[in-house]
Amino acid sequence: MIHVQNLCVKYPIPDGEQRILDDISMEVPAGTTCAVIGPSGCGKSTLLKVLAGIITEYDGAVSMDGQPILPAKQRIGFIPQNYGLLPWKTVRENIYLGLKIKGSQKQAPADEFHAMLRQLGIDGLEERYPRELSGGQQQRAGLARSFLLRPDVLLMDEPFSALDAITREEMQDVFLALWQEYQVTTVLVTHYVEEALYLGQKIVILSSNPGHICEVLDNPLFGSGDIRQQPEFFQMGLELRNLIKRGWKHS
Amino acid sequence: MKNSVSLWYAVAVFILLFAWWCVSVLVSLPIVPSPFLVLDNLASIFFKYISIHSLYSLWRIFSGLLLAILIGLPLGVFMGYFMKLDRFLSPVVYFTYPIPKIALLPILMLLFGVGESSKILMIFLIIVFQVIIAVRDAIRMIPKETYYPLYSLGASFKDIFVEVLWPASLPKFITAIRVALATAISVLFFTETFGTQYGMGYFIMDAWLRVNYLEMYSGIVVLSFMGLILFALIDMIEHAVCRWQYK
Repeated sequence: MIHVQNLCVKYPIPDGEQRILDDISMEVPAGTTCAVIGPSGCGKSTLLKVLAGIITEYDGAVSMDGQPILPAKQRIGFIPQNYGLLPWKTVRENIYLGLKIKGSQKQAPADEFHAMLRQLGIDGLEERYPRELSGGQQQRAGLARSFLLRPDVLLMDEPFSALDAITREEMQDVFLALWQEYQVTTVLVTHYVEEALYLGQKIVILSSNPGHICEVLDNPLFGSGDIRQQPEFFQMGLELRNLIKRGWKHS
Repeated sequence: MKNSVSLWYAVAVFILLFAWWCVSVLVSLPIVPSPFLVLDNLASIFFKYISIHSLYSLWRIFSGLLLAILIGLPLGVFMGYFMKLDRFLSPVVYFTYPIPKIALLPILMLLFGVGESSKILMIFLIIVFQVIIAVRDAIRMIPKETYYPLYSLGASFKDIFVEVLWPASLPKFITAIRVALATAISVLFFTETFGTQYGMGYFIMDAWLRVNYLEMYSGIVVLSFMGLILFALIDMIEHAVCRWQYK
C-alpha cells in the first residue's frame, strides 16, 4: 500500500522557489491500480518521481507498506515516458538490468524470461538494440523489465502517450493482462481520459499551479472486460471530462 | 564489408606510392628517392635495425596512452557527473589545456631527466586533456531521465558508472584518443631526438644526419605504418565495444 500524506514539493528557481505539488494526500491499496490524470505541468511526473525515490527533498510523509521510500530496500519498477531502455544495451541486457542491479540475476530463470518475452510478443528480439525496435516493442521491453523484477510497486509515467492510437489500445490490453497475472500495486500518470478510465481502479484528478488534488474517484468500470465500445464507457468519459474541466477552471 | 575495407587500404597505399613515384621522377634528386628503392631498402634493414626503434616508440606511446586513460577517464567521469567538482576543476583544466605541451619539454627533461619518463609524460600530457574534456562532455550530455530507472532501482555509483557513464562516454572517449594520438606521435618524434639512442625519431634524424636518405625514408614509411596500425586498432576496438552505434 502506498500512503501519501500532505506532500509538498518545491523546486528552486532563480528568485526563490516554485511550488510544484501542494498538500497531496492519497492512498493506493496494495494490489490495485491508480491513474493520476492532470494537465501538462501539474506536477504529476513529480509525484511519480517522489514515489520512485528519485526526488527525496519534499515536505510531508510518503510511505510504502509502512516504510519510507528507499529504492535500495524496496523493489520499485519505474517506467519513464521514453521507456527507460539504455541504447547501448541489447533488449536482453535491458530487461535483465533491473534484476542485475538488485543483485538477483540468477534468481530469474531463463524459462521465466522467455515466457515473459513470448507473452509480450517480443521473443526473438533479445539481441536487438532499442533503436532497432518500434515504439510499441520498446514499451513491451520496458514492461518485461519491470514485471520480471516482481516489483512491490509499479510506476508508469505517460506509458502509452508516444504510441499511435491503435498500438496504444493494444498496449493497454497487454499491460492489463500482465497486471491481472501479477497484481502489482500500480500508479500510472496520464493525460488521456480514456486511459485513466480503462486502467485506473482509482482515478486521481490533479490540477495545476501548484499541483493539487481536486477529485479522487473509484472507477466502477475497471476490470469489466472490453468496455471501450460500451455506452457506459463514453458516459463515464464525458463525466470525467466535465469533472476535470470544472477542477481545472477553479484552480 | 571486411574485404572492401582492406581493398580501400590497398588503393590508398597504391595512390600514395604512385604520387611519391611521380615526384621522385620529376625532381630526380637523391633527397626524393624512388619509393621502390626505399621499400627495397626497408625490406633489407627492417628486422636488422628499424624494428627495435619502432618497438621503443610504440612502448612510449602505449605507456603514455595508458597513463592518460588511467588519470583522464576517472577525472572526466567525476567532472561530468558531479557538477560541483566540475565548477572547481574546469578552470584548472582550461588554464592548462591551451599550453602547447611541447613548451613544457625543457621543464619535463629537467625534472624527470632526458630518459623514458619525460617522453612518456609528454605523450600523457597531450592525450590526457582531450580525454578529460571528451568524457566530461559526453557525460554531461546524458539526459537526466536516463538515470531515473536506475535511481529507482537503488543503483549504487558503481552501477551507474558500469551501466550508464562508461558506455555513454565510450564513443567520445575513443574519438578523443584518435585525435590526440596523431599529435602525440608527432611530438614523440620530436622528443626522441633528445637523450635517446632508440625510437623512430632518433632513427630518422640519425639517418638524415648521416645523409642516408634511403634509411631516412624507410623510417618515415615505418612511422606511417605504425600510425596506420594504431588507428586501425582503435577502429577495431570501437566497432567491437560500440556495436550499438552501428546498428
